[in-house]
Amino acid sequence: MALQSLKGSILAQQSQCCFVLACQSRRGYRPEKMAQIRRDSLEERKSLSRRVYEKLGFHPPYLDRSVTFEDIYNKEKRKTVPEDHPLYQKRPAYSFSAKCRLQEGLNQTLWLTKSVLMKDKMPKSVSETVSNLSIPNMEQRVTEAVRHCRQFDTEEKVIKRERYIYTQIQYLQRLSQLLGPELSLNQSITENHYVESSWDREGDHIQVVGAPKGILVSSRHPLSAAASTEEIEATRGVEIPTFEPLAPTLDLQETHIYQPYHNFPGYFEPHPFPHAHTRVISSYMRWPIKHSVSKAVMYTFADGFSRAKQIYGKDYNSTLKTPVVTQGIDTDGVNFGFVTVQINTLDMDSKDGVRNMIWVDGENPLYEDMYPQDIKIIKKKGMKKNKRQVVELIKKRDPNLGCQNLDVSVFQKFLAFMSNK
Amino acid sequence: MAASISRRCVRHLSTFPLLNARPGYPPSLRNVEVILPRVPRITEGNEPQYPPVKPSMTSGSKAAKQARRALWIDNVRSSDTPVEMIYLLNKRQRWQEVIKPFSLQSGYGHFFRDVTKTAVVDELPENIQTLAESGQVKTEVEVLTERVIELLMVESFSIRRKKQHRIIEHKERSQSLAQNILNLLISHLGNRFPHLTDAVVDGRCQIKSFWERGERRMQFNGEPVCSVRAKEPLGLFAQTTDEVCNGDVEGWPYNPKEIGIFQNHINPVCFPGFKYQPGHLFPHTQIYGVNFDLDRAERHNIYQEIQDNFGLMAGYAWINALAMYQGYCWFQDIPRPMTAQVIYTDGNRFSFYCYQANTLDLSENGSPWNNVCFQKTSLPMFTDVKDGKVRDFNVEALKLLVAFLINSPERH
Repeated sequence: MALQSLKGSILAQQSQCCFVLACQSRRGYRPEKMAQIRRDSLEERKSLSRRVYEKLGFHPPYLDRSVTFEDIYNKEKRKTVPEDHPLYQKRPAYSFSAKCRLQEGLNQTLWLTKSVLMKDKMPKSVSETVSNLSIPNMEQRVTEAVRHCRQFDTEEKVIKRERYIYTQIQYLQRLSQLLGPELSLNQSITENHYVESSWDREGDHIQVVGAPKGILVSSRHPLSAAASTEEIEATRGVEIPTFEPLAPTLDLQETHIYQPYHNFPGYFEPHPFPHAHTRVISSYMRWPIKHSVSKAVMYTFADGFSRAKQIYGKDYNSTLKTPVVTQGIDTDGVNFGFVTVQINTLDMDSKDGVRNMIWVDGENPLYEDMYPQDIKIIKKKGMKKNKRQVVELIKKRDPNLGCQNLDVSVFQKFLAFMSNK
Repeated sequence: MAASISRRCVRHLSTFPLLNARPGYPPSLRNVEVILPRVPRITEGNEPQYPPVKPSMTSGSKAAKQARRALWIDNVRSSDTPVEMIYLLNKRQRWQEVIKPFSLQSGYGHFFRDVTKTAVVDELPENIQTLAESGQVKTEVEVLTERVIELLMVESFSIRRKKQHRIIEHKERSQSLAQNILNLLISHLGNRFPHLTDAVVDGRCQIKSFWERGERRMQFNGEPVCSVRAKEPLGLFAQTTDEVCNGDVEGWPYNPKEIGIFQNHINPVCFPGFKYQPGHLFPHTQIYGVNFDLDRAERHNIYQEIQDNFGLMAGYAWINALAMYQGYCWFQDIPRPMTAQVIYTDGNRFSFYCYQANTLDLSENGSPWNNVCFQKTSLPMFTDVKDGKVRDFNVEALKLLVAFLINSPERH
């Protein structure tokens, strides 16, 4: 009975405001009357349960939430970092993740990793063996691989980029096993391998973290050095270019919550394949080459750096007796970029000393891309700048054009990288 | 007294209600023979003087429907390319059962055996048993045991995996193990057995196929981790004159809704992992991972049945899809039997299935043969991984895996 009377009184209040709001236009009312209407309509917009709680005088439960309206729309409060976190550090760290696009490209990676770009595109031990490697029926097999990945994989008309990169890497890696039985016994392959490494660079703490999409090939035995000791000594004191007035930690994410000097190669010991051999990264976003190559450089460097810290110890910060070499490949489905990194020092904080070395060979197209593209960009007069209207899927091109102008030397370079010792 | 006793003795042999049990059920859904008008025998003095009366193609009579269906079947049989044949078969939308071989009711495998007309044998065929114990396999296995143990340790212990829900963990673990083991074996054995290097390997594709059994149309959607196709067909597991291939398969007269198999009204799809491409049209092996809640299945004591039915359906559906790409369907039967091999993993346990399809024509008066499935369920590869060591490694599972891949296609 009490509830019925409550309900009746509340609905009676509601009905008083009704006849005013039934009129659709309110332009002719006095401002005092408009204020009254606004006050009255507040009560109508409240829910019945809320009105019941207020009438009875109880504390409503919807006010006990931890996140309130003010928390969300208070910009100053959003930017502050909780200092109670156990891993909170005062000094910020600049972290490189898989979605970072460095403004200056390779030059910025050279500064961050304290390294020097070599004149040759590949180390000599690798470039000499490129032309000698071969598989029976190589051209036929590579064309079949390209066609299988680009043309015959779906029941729909267009294959998406992420999918054809994934299948292409697997197919080419399976073809590379035909060189001999040694590869399958000494290598193991993992997908989306996680890596984490951090170091100091002239006062700034830099971190590389992530599990980029692609493959990591890890081997039992380490790679031999790619440059001799004379060349290593020649890099002592070479100037690393800076790009003033831009700061070298541009486009890196700033964090206060991190574990300092934490290096994790992605596996727990004991692991029968501890040496990271090559890392194949799939750049499925439509980035220009300088961004995708710099991403490959940073992640191969992180692989080698974490392994070096594992061998020599956490507190070792000087030149290495035997340098650590890792390789990286950056694919687009069509274009391949080959990167080798040799780590000579772990002393990244000072300006003097020996530098690390990087060899880069970018822009190697396997074939000319005659297959239909995923998207096309339309610009019409009067169209909004919304991406969905500007970018459209293409479905009308002929997929039987085939892969033209196949370049088998790119596949031979791939084989040389996978079978390097 | 007698009437009450007789009523009590009547028992329903299953928990499912009978389909078509009511007398007022529409006749179109019963298996009714078409009764044609009686025609007298033609003799010398009795020859007809006029041509036969053909039914019109546009009327709604029973004879017109039969004539239209006969025309459609003639078009299907006389089509030039398999793509045309598939278009004629799937251009009409109909109610069809969508098959996912997972359910928690015991005894649901009877439906799949009825729908694909298969007989099940609890042992592997003799070809493969002799292969698994031959000298070739022993030499390979001696070299591979160390490598496979290292792989198992890496997969279950060493690698850092993101913390996820337990169902997703099971999925990823089984799928990664399956892929890595197959890649290892194919790359290692490929140097000595050329049929593996000539074969095409599809990774993580979808397999869809459809077929008809009586008044029902079925559609199967599967997602194997790895499937290997060859240019030439595998050898037979059982001859067509054996007892196994000439038996009767019991019918299952209940509604598939009770098991969890529902209908949809859409064009069916035939897609064995690739668009139509001549060459490499015969199946070799296929490996599947887990796609459901393992703990729940073990609680209901139904995990073994799920594995068996998975292997059965995957084998038949894959053979059916590849046979349609060669131009055969249930109106035009395959001239010689086709065989396929299916493996199912859990991360730890392996189960092996050898499927032989003698017919695609599943109607009552179609062909005297039925299909056969040889099975071997749940061979564990190891029991535990502790302190960096794999315990109780089982060599038989490895032997069978190697034997499956070495089984080379023979020419008929």
